Amino acid sequence: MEKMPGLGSFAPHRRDRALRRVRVLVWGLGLGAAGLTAGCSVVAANAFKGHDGRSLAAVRAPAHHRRRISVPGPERVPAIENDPAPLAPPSEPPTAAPAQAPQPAPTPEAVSGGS
Amino acid sequence: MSARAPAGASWRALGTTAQLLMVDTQALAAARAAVDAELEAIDCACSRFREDSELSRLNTAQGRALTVGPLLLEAVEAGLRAAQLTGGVVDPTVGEALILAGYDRDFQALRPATGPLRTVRVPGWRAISVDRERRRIRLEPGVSLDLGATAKALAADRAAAAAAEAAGGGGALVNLGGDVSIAGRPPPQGWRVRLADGHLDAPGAPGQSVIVSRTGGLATSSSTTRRWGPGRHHIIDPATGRPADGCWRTVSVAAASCVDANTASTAALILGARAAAWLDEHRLPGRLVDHRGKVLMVAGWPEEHVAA
Repeated sequence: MEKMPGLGSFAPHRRDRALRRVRVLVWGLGLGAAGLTAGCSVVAANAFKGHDGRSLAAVRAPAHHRRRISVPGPERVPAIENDPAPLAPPSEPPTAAPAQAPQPAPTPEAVSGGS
Repeated sequence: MSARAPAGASWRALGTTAQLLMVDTQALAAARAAVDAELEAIDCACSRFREDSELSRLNTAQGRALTVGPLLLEAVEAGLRAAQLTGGVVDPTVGEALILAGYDRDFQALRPATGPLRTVRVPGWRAISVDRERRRIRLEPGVSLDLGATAKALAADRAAAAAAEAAGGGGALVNLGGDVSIAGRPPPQGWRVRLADGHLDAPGAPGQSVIVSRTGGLATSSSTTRRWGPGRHHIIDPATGRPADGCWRTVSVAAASCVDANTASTAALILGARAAAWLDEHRLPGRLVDHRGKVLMVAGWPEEHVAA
């Protein structure tokens, strides 16, 4: 049987060498791209001047427009010293009112209602 | 003891109606002066609607601690005590919620509100720090106080005590828009107090009744008054940041002081279905009126004489 021409150029050791070169080339391209990206990021980050503290304070919303509220935990706030006195009932509870007897001037009364 | 009927006077103060009743008619003028002085002092210290009040300075301090006068300190501590004793149901940090709901100026100047109700989370009383010894108060940034629930009742207690003192211990009753405080020796027949949804309601309106009180305080909280639009009234539920919408429209409570009575009546209105058990637990006589006018009496509230 006649050998196919050029079969020697596809010998295993030549093929392996070619693959190694391709692999090295791919790694090199990857590392280069990563380095370039990092470099661009650093340049971009330093290219623009940010706001300083003074200008930030100047644009703060008026107090009544702000909604961010920070509430500390109970352990840090000495709201009231000691336990407060409990709600106390009246020493003499209210009683039913008798009907007003007719008289020249009725007893003035207070009105307790919502306000 | 004088056998004559008590003498009285009424006038506008603190954005509502002030009423003074005195057993000793001769002492009315001196007592009125003493009450006026107390109310002016409370207004200067605690008004949310006066730019020059101490409370306005505190509300705009934005996290700085301020040294305050003894009256504002007492009022803030009364508000904090109410919050602690009610588990935060009555809370003085509802100022911002009231403003967002539309109550941002004196009630007489409010216009009817339309559009959706705006709400905000109520930060809660732990956002207030008090140094009693140095009379310094600090609010967390963004926190705004409204002392309306307790400061008016405190004013009634202080004014009644001042009136009784001005009368040499004679009996005095001070009523500030339905927050009633009694001091000194009462008249033999006691003080007649008519209960109504609103303190300006005319006698004889449906659902009113009359009781007799001789000591302590009596307060009524109602969602039927001080309204400026649908679903908008002045009693804020701190849990929701919205006006309370429980099952009671009006709650009256009797207690040892007007501050305690007001704390309890406000809490009961917000607590809704849990209010009756809560009042019973605290042995506070209460009268609760639901939205259909049905009345529930708890903890020894007397049988009623229905007002004519």
